[in-house]
Amino acid sequence: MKTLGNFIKWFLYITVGILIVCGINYKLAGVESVPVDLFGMILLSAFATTLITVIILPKEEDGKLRSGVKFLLHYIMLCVIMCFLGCWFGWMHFEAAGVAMMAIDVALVYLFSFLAHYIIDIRQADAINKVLQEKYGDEEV
Amino acid sequence: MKITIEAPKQGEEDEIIVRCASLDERLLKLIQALRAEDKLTGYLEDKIVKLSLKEIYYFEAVDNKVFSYTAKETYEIHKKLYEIEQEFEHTDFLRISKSVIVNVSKIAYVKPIFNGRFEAKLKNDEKVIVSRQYVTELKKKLGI
Repeated sequence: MKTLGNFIKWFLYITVGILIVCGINYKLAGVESVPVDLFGMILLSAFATTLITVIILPKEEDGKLRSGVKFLLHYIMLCVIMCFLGCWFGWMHFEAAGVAMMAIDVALVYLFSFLAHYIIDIRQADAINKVLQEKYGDEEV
Repeated sequence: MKITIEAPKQGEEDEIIVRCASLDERLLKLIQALRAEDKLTGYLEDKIVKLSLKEIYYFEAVDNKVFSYTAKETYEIHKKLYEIEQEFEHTDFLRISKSVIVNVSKIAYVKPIFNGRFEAKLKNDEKVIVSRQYVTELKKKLGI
């Protein structure tokens, strides 16, 4: 149940992230209309990358080195999957420039997803701190 | 449920009588909370000290031993972490990771850190980690 909840959470973040990056790319390319099946492609990409994210992302018990290695592996895996899907969907050509662009796009989605996660955590912390202050703020050390 | 509070006669001890057809979970928890002592025995080298729960910041399990941390000293406690967790379930103590039970009233603030975990800064400036899976428990304890 916890894994499913985790999966859904990451799936939402990643889907929104890919939507934003797609929007930016289409805007920069000056494309007026988007393919009808774009949303399906985004969902499939989000599903594949979420699966990798849930499997590979560091666990709490992982040390710093192990976490670092897992983050690097995670990013490389995401780039490989997105290059494969990108070629299949016609988003890119398999050449140096295309792969580089995809690596940048993956980094942007990565950044967005983690930022969203962090902002939600900050809000949770704020709510906790508010109650802590109300209930125990006056207690002496 | 009817609740009656009466003053004892002069010279009589304070007494709680539970009059019920059967003990449900709610009543059992209430009785457990009433029975829980607010003192704990701590061991520091050759000293044996009665610790008040109020002075304990957190408990930590290290190498099969459990220690309680007060503002100045660290005492060994001859109990398992899960026993402490059960015994003080209805107090301000809450398990926040596999090895730590914190006194929530001693938390100054929390902040998110890497990997969905939170860091709790205690009022004595010590820091303890709140595991991702226990953040929900902390929120529940605080009524959020």
